[in-house]
Amino acid sequence: MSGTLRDRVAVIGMGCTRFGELWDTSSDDLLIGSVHEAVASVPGLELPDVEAFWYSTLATGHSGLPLARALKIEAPVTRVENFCASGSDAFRNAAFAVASGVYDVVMAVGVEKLKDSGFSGLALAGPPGDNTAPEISNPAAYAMLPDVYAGNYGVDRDSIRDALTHIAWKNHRNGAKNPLAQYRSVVSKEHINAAPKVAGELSVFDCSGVADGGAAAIIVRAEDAHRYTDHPMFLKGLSLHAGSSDGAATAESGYYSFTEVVACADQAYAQAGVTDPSTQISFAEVHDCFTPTEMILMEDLGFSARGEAWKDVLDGHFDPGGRLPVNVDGGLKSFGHPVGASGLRMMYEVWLQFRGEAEGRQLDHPGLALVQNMGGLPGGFVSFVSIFGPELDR
Amino acid sequence: MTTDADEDLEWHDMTWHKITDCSAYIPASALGLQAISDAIGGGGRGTRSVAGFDEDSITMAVAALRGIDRHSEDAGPLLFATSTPPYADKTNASTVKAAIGGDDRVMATDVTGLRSGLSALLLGARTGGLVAMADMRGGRPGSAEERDGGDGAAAFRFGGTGQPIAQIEAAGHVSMELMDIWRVPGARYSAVSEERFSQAALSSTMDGLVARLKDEGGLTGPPTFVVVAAPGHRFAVKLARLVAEDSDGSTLAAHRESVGYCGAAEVGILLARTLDVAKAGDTVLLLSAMGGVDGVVVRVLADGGGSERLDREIAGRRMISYTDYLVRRGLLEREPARRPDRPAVAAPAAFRNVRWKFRLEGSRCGQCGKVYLPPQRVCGGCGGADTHHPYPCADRPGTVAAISTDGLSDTPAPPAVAALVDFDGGGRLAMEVAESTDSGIALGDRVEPTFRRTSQTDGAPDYFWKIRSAIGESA
Repeated sequence: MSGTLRDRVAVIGMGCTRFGELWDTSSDDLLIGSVHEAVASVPGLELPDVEAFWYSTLATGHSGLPLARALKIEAPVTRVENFCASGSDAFRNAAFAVASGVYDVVMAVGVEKLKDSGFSGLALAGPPGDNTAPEISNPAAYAMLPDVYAGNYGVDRDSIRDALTHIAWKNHRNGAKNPLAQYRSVVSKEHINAAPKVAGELSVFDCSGVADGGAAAIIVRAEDAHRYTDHPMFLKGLSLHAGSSDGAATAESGYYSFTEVVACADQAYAQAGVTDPSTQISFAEVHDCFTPTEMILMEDLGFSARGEAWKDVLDGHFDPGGRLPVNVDGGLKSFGHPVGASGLRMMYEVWLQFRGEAEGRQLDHPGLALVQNMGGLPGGFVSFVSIFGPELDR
Repeated sequence: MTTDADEDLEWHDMTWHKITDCSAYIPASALGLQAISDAIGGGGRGTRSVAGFDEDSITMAVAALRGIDRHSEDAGPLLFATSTPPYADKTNASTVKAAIGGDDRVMATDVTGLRSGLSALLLGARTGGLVAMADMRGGRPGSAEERDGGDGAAAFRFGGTGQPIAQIEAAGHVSMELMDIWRVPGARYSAVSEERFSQAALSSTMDGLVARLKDEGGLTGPPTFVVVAAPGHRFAVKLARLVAEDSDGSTLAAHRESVGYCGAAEVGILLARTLDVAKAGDTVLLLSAMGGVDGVVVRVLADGGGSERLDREIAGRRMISYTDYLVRRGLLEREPARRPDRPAVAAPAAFRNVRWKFRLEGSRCGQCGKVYLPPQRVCGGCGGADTHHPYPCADRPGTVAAISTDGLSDTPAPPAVAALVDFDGGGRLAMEVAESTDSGIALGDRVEPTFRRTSQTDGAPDYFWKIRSAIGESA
């Protein structure tokens, strides 16, 4: 791949609804709320100025019509579905669209209305089949990771548990400072450790919040960005991988690393000119669908050495005051995880941090930011990594 | 092979295939009859076997057949006997046949009713091939049928390659239009007539039949062993003593105290367990007393392999509570998890993938040796296309590479347990753990595939492979 979107694409406006159990809010409300907020964030821009839309949702609607109907627009609308990375993939396609020169102003908008189903956790019906896929819930699939990790690196299980508890504690504490987050309570480590288990060693505090919500981003070419705002967010690198799932099929691949994440992080770092992510990345939004996922991601993204992430977590390296704050907005854990919106929600936090608008959780001098979003189960992922900066490099 | 039995006895000049292997299957959990007494009354001493929530007559028949030596070159029909067929209309034996594999150019057929096990045994002896019988017996909570019933299966191989271990020498029958036990289609429980009446009718008729077998069936002295298949525990034991007081009835007694009456499978389980402990030259008098009387004289041709395996499995069973039993039987409905129903199987997909779904047949690359479960066309190991060949895994053990309880997925026995299995020789698959509650399976443990029912909801039964502890290796 010779091309790169580094410094060719910028975000000039964003919107994000409150996430949570929004019983009085419809999916239309979530679309309208996030889209209108994004448009309103760009002075002088009107919705008809947006020429094309990429609309991401896992299961809240089919085709581009729900967006067009709700907004009363007639425009190119593409529905994007790529599991929990749907929002990121909507952004990715929108970014390619302006970079191609065909469109000048486009929008990625993601929405999910999960709570109306009444199901526990996330449940997705597959196509008609031979029914040989095992009935394994997502928490159970991810709950397999900590013991395998502990065994692979010879770490005792209690230390791993302490690290997972720290991640849950951190992300809840971060979310408590975020007015849009689903869960806004600080939860003590004692309380987390005492919670009944949902799957394996994971309790609800180790699992992301199942939530309703929407988020939107307005995207232009980088050279046009300053015509719309003084503080655009510039894309530095972007990579998406859908794994062959060989990891699910063969014993060569362990359950202590996500090969798809490693591959697309490498690609995004190369595009952005990042050679030492642990020092060059200023802060990160990562896919903490379950606490062990965040721990393993610290290694796969190069923030920690192999087998050391649990230690770095416990040493506070990824706390808001640490060397590389992770999920300062609360992450999937406490911000909530409306699947189609989550990737864009992660970018929304970067957007706020760059603009100095992350009230109560604002980081000092945020530099390069990493957004990592993924979908699937251990053994086979769709993984997305992007890197953003507050300024053009040249 | 013909017997020298008198022409008054049925089947006397037929060709009999000899039994060349047999196996009994007893499920891994059991209910103490005292638990019934404590809960609702009507229990007693001893235990009865209870099928797993993911077992039924089809899966238990498969388990029993997997316990015998099957030779792919052996042709012959598959006869499946049960009084609790998971399917009406559709042939249950076809599902059993799909799961055990082998040449499919054979007749696979069902025989139903409580006496069908004996019928299948005699038909199999005539046709050769495989006979499987499996049943799940119960009744209203607190009833004698519940207390005296059991779940289990047996399988026999007639003829083919391999050393004969026993042969049927004579069989006699008295057909009786007797309303002793019956169940109309769709009814949940059997109806039974007053037992003193039916037992009196059966006893006196059995007396005559046994006398005829002794006179004319080639029995020169008392048979070495006597077993009686009859729903009532005390009646079966009493009848055995009555008609063959000098014969060894200990296998029957032990079976009734620990397993219970397994319906259509009862004669098979009793015969298989007797052949385990018998010596060459022994004779077994196999009697059935319900809905008519039947008697079979079996001559033992080879020393049995001993009862240790089954004794150990029975002793190692997990005792379940009476409420667990009621939930498994659908007599007590548990609040389901708030999860979507498992979808009904798509018939075309199941048909296309029959060797995967029913035989756990993956694929192995002819170029690089990489194994995939389920089978793949494109190899991720070497990039070859259509280089993969069928690779059966149903008989392969494996090792647990990752495992977790699953408190979210719906199951009659929460929590479910799921595991990632690395099969010996290659291939990795995420699988459900059978009989999951307190399964005790941990990371690194040895496991083996077991054919189980997967559907959790009402409607068509659905099947696939799960895993359980590799008991085959501990033997």
